[in-house]
Amino acid sequence: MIQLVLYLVLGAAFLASLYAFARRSASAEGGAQIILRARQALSALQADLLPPQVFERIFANGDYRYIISAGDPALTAMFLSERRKIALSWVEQIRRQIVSLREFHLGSARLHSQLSPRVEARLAFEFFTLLCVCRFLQLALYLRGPYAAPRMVGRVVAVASRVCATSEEAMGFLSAVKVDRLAGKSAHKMTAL
Amino acid sequence: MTTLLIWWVAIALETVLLGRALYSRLVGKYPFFFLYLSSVVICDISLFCVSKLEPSAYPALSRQTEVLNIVLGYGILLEIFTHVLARYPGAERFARVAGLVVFVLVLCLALAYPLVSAGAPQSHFRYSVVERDFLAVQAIFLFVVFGVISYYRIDAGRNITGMIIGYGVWLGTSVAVLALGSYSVASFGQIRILVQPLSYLFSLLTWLSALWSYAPSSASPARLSLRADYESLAGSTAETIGKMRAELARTARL
Repeated sequence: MIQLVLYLVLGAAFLASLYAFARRSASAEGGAQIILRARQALSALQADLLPPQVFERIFANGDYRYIISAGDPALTAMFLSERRKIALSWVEQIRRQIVSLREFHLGSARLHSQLSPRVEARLAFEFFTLLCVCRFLQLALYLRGPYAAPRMVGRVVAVASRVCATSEEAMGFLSAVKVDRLAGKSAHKMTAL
Repeated sequence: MTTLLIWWVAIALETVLLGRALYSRLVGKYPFFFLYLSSVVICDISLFCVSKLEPSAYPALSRQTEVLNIVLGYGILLEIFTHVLARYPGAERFARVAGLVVFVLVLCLALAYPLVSAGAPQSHFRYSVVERDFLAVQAIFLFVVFGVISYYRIDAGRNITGMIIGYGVWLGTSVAVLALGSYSVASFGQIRILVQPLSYLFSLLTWLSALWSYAPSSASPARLSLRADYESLAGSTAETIGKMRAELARTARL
């Protein structure tokens, strides 16, 4: 009976993976697009998401204290709800940019004949756990609110900044001139379409 | 009557597919796949003639041709390696090593299983068991290849994607149906007679649509002159992830 179940599970899992394979998007195909997206992810992180003035504004305690001083519970609840949405959106953006950076790694690694399957398997696992941790942070923000874990936010910013630094180094070969050229090509292709 | 109709439709579709492949010169592009398909057409026509002229020889011949076609079905894996993964040496290496690991695991399982199992299957199910196991190994290999292609976001092209989906549907269905058969489920005969040929018809229609004309995967991405080699790329990524994990774990504990 166990054998029957195993084979039926194998058949079902195989058909499910086939369905996923048929429906997958190949939009990540193409080295230039991956590099451009990674570059854009880096820019978004460095210019829009990680600068101190951005996250300090989102998580500013002063705003909270000001609303509390008004003494209106409904207003406080609305404020916390709105701020939580902004904070969650901020973490989600960071998570998405990390996914873009992972795509860049995969896009580069698949071309290397010296690729080590063991290292790749480990990296895949680690990226997976890292993204899970990001989800955990989102959950923590959702449950405890934007002001419950200020140190956690600080840590995320510090870690994401380090990722940016490393990724920037990995993308060092892509000079600003090349980025502009690639962006120009993409724009030209879009216009032609 | 239904079986006969499916048989005729299958032979007609296979012939159209082969004719079209010869006309559009796809045979030269995907030789292993069309070798498999040619073998299936020849076997189908031969079996049909034998079933009419010498019905007693049909079961033995049917089993022999099925084994031949299962072995030739591995040609589809060769096409994937040749046309999709060869352009990406890293992904190809990953798939090769993962496939080897799977092969060793399956081999160990196959050697160990008789030692712990209750005994050999009944003689009339033995053939189904062997066929099921062969197809299951193929399914596991394809599973690994799907994983690698999807993980590295490789575009397989319309031809190879259709080839994989068509063969995969038949393969997955066959593994499930043969599993039921080898477990002596009462209505197995009826299920197999209808489900397996219907899934094969679906495969043929998929192949006909996907292989109507030559549509390879998109051109290989430009090989940018990476400053760092793979080791430094993987090293820096691993280092970054390690730092992030440590920091985030510490954060989570706060």
